[in-house]
Amino acid sequence: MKQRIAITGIGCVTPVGVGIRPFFSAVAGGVSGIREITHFDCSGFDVKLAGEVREDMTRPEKFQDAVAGDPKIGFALEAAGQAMRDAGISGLSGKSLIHLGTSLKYFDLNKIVQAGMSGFSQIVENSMTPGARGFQTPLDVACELIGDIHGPDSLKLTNVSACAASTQAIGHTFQRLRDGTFDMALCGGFDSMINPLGIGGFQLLGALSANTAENARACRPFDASRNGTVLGEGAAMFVLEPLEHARTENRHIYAEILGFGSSLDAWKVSAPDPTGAGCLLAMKGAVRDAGLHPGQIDAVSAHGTGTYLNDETEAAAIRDILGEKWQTTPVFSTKSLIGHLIGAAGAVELVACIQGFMENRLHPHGALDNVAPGCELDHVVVAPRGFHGQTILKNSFGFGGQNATLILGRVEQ
Amino acid sequence: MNDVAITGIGIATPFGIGKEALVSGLSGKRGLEFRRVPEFRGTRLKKQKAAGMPDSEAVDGRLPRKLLKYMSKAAKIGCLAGTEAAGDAGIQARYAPEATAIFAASGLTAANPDRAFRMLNASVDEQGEFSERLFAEHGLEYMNPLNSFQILPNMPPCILSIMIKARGPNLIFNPWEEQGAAAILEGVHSVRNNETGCALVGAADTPDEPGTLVCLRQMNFLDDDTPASSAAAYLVLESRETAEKDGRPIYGVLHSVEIESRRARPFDPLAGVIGRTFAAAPALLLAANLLGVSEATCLAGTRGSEIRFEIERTKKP
Repeated sequence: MKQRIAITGIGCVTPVGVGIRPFFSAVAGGVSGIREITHFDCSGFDVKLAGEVREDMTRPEKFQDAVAGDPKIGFALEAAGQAMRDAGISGLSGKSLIHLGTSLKYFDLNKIVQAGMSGFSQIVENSMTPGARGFQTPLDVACELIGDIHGPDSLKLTNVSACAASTQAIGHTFQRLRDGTFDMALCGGFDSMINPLGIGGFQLLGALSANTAENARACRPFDASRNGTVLGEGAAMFVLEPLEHARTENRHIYAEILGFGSSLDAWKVSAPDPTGAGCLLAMKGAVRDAGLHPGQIDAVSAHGTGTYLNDETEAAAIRDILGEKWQTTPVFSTKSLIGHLIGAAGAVELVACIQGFMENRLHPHGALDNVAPGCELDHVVVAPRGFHGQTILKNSFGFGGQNATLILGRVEQ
Repeated sequence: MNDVAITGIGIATPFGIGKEALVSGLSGKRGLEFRRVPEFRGTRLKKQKAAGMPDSEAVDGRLPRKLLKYMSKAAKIGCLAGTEAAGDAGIQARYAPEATAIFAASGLTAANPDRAFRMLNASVDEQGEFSERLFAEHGLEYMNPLNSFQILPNMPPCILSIMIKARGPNLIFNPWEEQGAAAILEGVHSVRNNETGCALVGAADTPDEPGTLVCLRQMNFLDDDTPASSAAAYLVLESRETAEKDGRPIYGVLHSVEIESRRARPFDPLAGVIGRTFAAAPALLLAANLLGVSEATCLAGTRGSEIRFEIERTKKP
């Protein structure tokens, strides 16, 4: 049984706004959320920029401890609540799934220091004192809390496929709704690595831009002067359900998911396959899964990180799959405006794709002045571009060689 | 729709590397000694017991040297189990890389306490408070860039994909039994729906790491009477029709995997012998059943879900 799957609810928390309307308005205007880090004292770090969520979000008292244990849980709760309200659903019913992507557990270095620095035994003693707070929070806590609120009987999955996590979570959810395994689902991603350990770890890997002078324009996917990505944080969640059911319930349908593909580079631990074969495999898989041919792809939302290794490889793979049509198929990267949201990246960038259908325009790259050799594509630059196409291909590629691609389709109301 | 056959099994547990070691252990031919954790000496967790791999040199010796520096303990045992399962089923000779999927789960990330202390000691100011500036200027010197590869929970299956040249569909879940079972369930769906040729499904978890044990104890997921063990288990799933056509021995047919939220008390039938293995427990239980050393087909996960397998054993172990 294959059925069409619709997106009927969206929630998002991003560095340029909380909720889809503020997000749409900001990215269409080329507003960047990348600024100097304020979450902690970054004066000693080479890297000083990030896309931080600046809004305070109110949440019930009972979640304060969880959010204090890991701030990204707050983003997840907010985005999930928005998505459910947006869909007009009080709870997930029937056979339901909650599948969220994220990347890495948050280690609160401050709490470890407070727990005691004289040795591991002191940490053990202090940690086991009744009422002591943990200094690490399991990654599934957000999913469990969201399940308690919106779907106690749902199957709850936490996907940790690095930067491909939320795209995988959405793609997998789509596949299992399509084949009838589940009736309704909430899926997406949440993440934040904007903490000393996250920024420090990425800085050591040389993956982040230390070009503070560029400020809001420091994340420069496909640009000749790109020198690394910029971390962002946030969350995006989607209510997915069979399109026919959504129509029966008279729900607003934002778009439908047409296809999903995932692949592994199986190349090297520390670098993507430079031939782009892994990316291409995921894109081809998604196009095939959608029952389309590559010529039917009308726009591409690139993974576009602004790192040397990713952009050229991805551009080559996009040209490869689009064939001659690559010169007239618009390509945009949302990371240039909000930074790299790691496990949440694909989900938040999917919201920007949906904007393409809703507002009939694609947002521009935030900082693409001179296209780097090897990165030639039909880039959307300077201003939004009018868009009346039927399909958008969304890429996400993860550290470790995990690739995921979604195909999104326009649905006439 | 395809019947889903299990044609390969790979295991790494404190009984040793390989499925034969598990069979010996679970059939009582080989004992397992749970030890108190040295790092907990003199603390209120002094009674906590755990078991790791018996011979870490033997583990390292079986892995490619160039990959070792990227590997956590979970990655090492996961890759040993995964390559054993892939070899057992002969998938590399029968399936294209892009037709080989990996659906896996990983456990809680283990931090190395000694390394963390050196890093943090360099980051504490005169008032004894953690200083982000000192961390950036001095603490980071003690942080090995390779740490990122060792703590990212997706790395064990990614490294496995490099070792066996698997390039197909993939999903990685975290961190409990529910997610370990979901990886198996996804393999069943994918093979049944022809979304992949074969699927390597399973998990590796190292709850015996001291940093992880503290976390598990703090959350009351373990107690003094329940030891924790490192374990990895992988299974190869493929269509029964293809396996029979290729003349591959079939351990069994997996008719269904059910994961139901029931707020059940966590229960692992193998825990009494081998300790709690968390994310690895479902694949380990399934393997033990198929190898004829356990009749159990269900367990309950840390988050209270009941996990049930419907299996038809077809090959004498």
